[in-house]
Amino acid sequence: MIKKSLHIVFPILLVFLFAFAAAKINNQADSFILQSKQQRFIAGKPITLSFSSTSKTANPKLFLIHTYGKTVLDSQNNNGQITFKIPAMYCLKTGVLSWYLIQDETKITNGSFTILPNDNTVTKIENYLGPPSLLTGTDHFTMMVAIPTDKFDNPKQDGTEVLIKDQFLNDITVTQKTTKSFIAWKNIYSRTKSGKMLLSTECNNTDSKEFETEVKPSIGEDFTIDFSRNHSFADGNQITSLTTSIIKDRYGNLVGDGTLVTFQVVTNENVLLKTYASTINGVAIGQLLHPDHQDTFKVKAYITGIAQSKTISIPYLPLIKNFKYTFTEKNRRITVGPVRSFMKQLVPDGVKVELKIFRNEELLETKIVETNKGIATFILLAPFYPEKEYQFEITTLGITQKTDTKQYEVN
Amino acid sequence: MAKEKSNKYLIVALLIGVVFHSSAIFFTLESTYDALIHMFFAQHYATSWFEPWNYSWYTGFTVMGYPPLVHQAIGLLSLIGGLKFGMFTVAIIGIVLFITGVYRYTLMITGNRTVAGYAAIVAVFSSSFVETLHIFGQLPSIIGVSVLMHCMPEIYLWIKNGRIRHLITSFSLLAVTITSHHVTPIFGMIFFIFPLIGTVIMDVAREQVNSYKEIKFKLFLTTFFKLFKRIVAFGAGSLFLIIFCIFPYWVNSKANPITQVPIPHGSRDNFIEVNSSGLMFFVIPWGILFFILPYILYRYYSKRYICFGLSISLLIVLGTGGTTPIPLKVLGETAFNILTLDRFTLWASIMSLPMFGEFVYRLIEGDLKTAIQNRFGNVYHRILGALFAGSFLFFAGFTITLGYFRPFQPQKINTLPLVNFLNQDQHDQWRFLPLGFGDQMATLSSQTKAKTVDGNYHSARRLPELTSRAIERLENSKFRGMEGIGSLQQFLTVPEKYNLKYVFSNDKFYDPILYFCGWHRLSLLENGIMVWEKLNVAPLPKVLPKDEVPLYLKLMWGIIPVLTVILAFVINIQSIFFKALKIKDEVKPDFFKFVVPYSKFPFKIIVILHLWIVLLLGVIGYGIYQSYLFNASQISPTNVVKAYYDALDFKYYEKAHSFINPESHLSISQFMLETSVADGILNSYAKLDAIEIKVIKSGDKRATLVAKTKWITPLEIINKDYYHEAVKQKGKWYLVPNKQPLDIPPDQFLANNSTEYYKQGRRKITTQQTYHEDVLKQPELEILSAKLIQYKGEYIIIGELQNIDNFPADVVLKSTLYNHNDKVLATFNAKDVIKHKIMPKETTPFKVNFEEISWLNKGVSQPTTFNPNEYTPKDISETPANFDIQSAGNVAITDFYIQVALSDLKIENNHLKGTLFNYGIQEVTVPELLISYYTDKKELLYVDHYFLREGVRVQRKQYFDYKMLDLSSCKIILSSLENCYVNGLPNGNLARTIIPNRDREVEKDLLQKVDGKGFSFIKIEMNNYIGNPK
Repeated sequence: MIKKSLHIVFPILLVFLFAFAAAKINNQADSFILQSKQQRFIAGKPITLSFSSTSKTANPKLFLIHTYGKTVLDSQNNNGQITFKIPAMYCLKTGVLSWYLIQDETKITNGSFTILPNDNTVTKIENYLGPPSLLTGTDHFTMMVAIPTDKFDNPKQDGTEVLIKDQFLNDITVTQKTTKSFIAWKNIYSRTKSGKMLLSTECNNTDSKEFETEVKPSIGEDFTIDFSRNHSFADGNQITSLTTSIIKDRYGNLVGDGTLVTFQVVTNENVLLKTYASTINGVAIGQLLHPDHQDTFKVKAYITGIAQSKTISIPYLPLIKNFKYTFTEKNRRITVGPVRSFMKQLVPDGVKVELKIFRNEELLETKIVETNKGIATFILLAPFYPEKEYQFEITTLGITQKTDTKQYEVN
Repeated sequence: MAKEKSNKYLIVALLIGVVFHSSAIFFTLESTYDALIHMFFAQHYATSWFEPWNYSWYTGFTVMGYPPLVHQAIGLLSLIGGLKFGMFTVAIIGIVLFITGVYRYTLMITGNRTVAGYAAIVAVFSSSFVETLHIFGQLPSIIGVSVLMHCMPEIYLWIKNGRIRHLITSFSLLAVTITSHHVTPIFGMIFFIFPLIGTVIMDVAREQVNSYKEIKFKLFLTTFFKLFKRIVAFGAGSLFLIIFCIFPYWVNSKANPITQVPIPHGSRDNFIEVNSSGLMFFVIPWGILFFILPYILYRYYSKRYICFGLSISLLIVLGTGGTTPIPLKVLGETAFNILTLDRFTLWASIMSLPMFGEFVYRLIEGDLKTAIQNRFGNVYHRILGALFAGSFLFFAGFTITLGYFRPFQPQKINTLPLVNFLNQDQHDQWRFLPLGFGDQMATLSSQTKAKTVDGNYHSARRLPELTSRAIERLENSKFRGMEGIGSLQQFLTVPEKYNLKYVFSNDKFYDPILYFCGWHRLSLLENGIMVWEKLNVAPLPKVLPKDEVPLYLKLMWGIIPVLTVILAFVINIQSIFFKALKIKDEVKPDFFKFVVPYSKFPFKIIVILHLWIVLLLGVIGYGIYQSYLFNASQISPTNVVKAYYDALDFKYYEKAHSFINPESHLSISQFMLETSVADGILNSYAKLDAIEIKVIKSGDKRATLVAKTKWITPLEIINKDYYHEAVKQKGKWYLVPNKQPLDIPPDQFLANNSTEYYKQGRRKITTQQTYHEDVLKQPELEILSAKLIQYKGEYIIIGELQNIDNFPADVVLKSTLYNHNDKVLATFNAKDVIKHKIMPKETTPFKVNFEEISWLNKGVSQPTTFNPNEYTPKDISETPANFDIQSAGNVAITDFYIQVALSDLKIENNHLKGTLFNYGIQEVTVPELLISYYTDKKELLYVDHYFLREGVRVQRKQYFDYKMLDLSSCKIILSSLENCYVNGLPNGNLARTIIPNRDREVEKDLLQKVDGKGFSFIKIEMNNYIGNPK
């Protein structure tokens, strides 16, 4: 019997319980009225939101959305006066702060207000400059960007005046710009002279540090070349220096140090030789070894694809007209020389002497010996050259001499 | 039962052993092969005990690949007195464990305390132990085998008597063995424990009959079945322990199976062919033991020990490595290539120690002494004994000092400047690569947080660039021939892939390859290590990938090993105390019942021993005679040339000079001067690989020869023929000195002006990142032409590039090939066919070869010859439809030496014969020619390079002879600048603001007309490497 009565009583009890609970919630739906109507706050000042409520016990929560992030604040109900203190960190940062008053997980009311930069604090200024180097001319520019901020690193409101200053030689320019989307910027155009440009900015009597950008010379213009040398003989030992004129860009600035110049040589045989040099103060000096035979070098210099010189011609005179040679020790020792140079002095050591050995007009071997004190010696050992007769061709310093057929003893 | 006295021999052995070894390890251990690696692992455990992932090596690896006990022990002890303290302490513990282990093992084998004492003494000086500790530094192996020897008497007693106490003690000790070295218990089961079980069965059977002779196979079998339960209990338990104690290890080996190409190891060589391996892995570990091998075999083949006999025979054979084909057949290909076979010799020699102790005992105070004295007299016995003892001690001394006389490692490096360098300026945000450090790279790694792409535990390698080759480390890649240098070149060419920015070079050998791959010298540290840097490499990401393992594995790995030691200590401490302090009379263990009486030494064994020793001495004598003949250098012209080159290769100049004809009156100082003036790739960076000498003409007293030499250099293989004349003087052949070039530089004194550069980096002294205003603009480059070509079946990107900025530039150039669907086919960087450092307005040709990670495909056979210049071209099955080039310039400040002129050129027979002349004031060590080929329409067709063999000294000439290529099969597939980028921006956009009107026609003036196969014009440019900038 008890069981049965339970079946009836329990649902009734439940109905009562729900009805009561609903009544309680309805009672709590108090009204909350925002009391502080201020819509704009200044960064750095404490911000408090207060609500008046009909309930003296309700403790709603305030949900905040701010650039720093989202958070939920608890309230204090002081006799129907509900206050929320916005965290100090949020008060420092400018931007829109949206709030939602929440009671029992339901939004009751919401609103938003703006925090503005604090113009009463010291202005700070943040700068970006780039590129740090430019070329001379009228098309290239560097961009100076200034972001004035308050003490709390909040960008100033749009329309804040910023002075952008640049100095180049005696020329100092000050431009007034206003910030837009937080930044004030200016393109500072390059000059026709190379050098260092210094830049700075100013806002509300706050000055930035010094920034710099280099104005570098543009590409070089065509130039001329010249040569100098010790003597004009083709001794294969001395050096000919090739010098460019001062290479300048179209505005008359010296091209950047280190600019590579290629000196190209065309010989009489249409062979291309080359030497490289990099400029110092606009001048590049390349060096070239004298040829070891009569030749005329046609030299032209290039900055590849950019500038070039006219061709100059450098003639080299032959060092010798002919030379002596002797056969001794049963023709097995061939002594070439002494080879004498233009003043009858012995040629410098290391002049190449080439001996071509023929037998019946057929080239057997080429031997190369360098001169020592003007003399080069070839030895033909009997075991290695067993034949009866050989012919020879001797070449040095561009002169070739053919010998008679020489007879050899056969063991 | 009378109280036992302390065994004085054991005490002597311990005292001598500890004093001898522990004073020696301070001089040897740090230059051994393995000790520093163990120290690195210890450092890992000391800093992160439960975390198995280590970022320092490779691109991160797990330490679960090696049993941790020894490393953890060092790590724990390091908390007291530093890593080295930990390592030395563990080594000393290992020494004590080894000596006592040998004692207990011998006691079990022989049942004679005096013999066991003798064995302990000889164990101290046993050359295999000395080698393992002082040359190899294998601490885990030593501790593993020592504890195993401690364990064996317990196993014996368990199987013999079935007391559960012995089972527990044996398990506790076995667990320690397992956690210190995994291979030891696994093979120990086969080689030590199986024969031990056999011996126990033999002993139990012996108790049922009157002598060992009466034991027949049937009895043996029935006894075996009687003991079967105990054996199975032990076997199952130890199998469980092997799996459980290092369970994470097994999980890891399953997850990361060793799939890498086997690393060659000396123990797998044929010892007769490779004598050095024979010495290290056979002669030294056996040492004097080999002389009494017949005795050892005789004893182990007596019936009681027959199972040990079989085991030691197998060990001896397996230890011969590749000398006989048997080890390969027994172990199978895989095991043969993974295992180092020297451990078999080590175990064989350790197994021999009881018999060695017994032999010494019998020789000194036993029946052998009597037998010899009776037969040969007292004097003979004394001489024999003295010789025996002398050569035994000599072997130990020889082994321990081997590392001193013939260092295995580069000289000790002071790592402090390196550690400081890495800590400075956030240098540890990039990976580094040590070169030429030997195993000391592990020391460096244990001292810094910075990471390296290399590593010193090759089983853990993960990058396919490393696992696909048989190279242990990149660090010593020059010893690994083509594979090593090839691998290194790939790391150096594409360093951004690995965030590799710094190379620490302790070996000049690698300098040219670093330069030509675009690296530059940063600074010489105070310890003589050169730091090389590469620009345009991004730092490591903040979060690095790692393989996570479950928590339970981490806990097992961190807890079990130390727990096994604690348990073993608790379980065994009682009996150790009793034994050591003789507090209580312990029952004599059963094996004392089976003592062999040393009453009459069989005479035939003495005879066999004598014959064996005579045979061995004969073989040794023959070997010495052979080596004498081999070294007789002046008996023929061929020999003298060969000897001369050998001497030069090892830089034995005095010896080389002694082969020069004395009648030429060439003084040694002049000879040295002439040899050393020539710098260049051959003289400074080459190793002679092969030499073949041919006689061209020969007479009685005179001969002309050509030495066809093959040199290994870091850049390429060089074949060069040297012509020599040899003369015979007083029965000996000598070389006629080659004539030195007589050319004289024009100026005695010269002045040179050049532009030099300096980069401040951060102008403010701060640890912050570089301020944006200190960041230099990237130099502007322009790609002048870019082409995709096909040559010899390979797709190649070529082109030309110019630095159009006012700043000198370091150029990194990366190219990618795409198919029709814009799928990436291949990507690679320009390696050495480009000038990486270019002056303002300088141009350079470039070539990008798409290299495959070599031999990634197993089927492709690896070339046996070495050629670092050779690589595997990437197999691009699809035809590339498009390509792109990403080039980046960064401000460079060094390595622009341009003062080399092409001062003469002859074009004949398809050869370019020219002369370079250096007019500057730096000696060019390795000149590289970049030869661009052009079509008849003066369109770029191909780019080739050529390294000159010799350097160009100041104001001097150098001749080259370059054979032009046959390019008739080379075709241009695509020529386009469309997808070329400079510093991330499209090529040309910015360039047109710098050079509005580029004159492309002028470039065509610079081409040399030639009559070539498939081409009509060429251009020669020079790229000069200065080895020693002044």
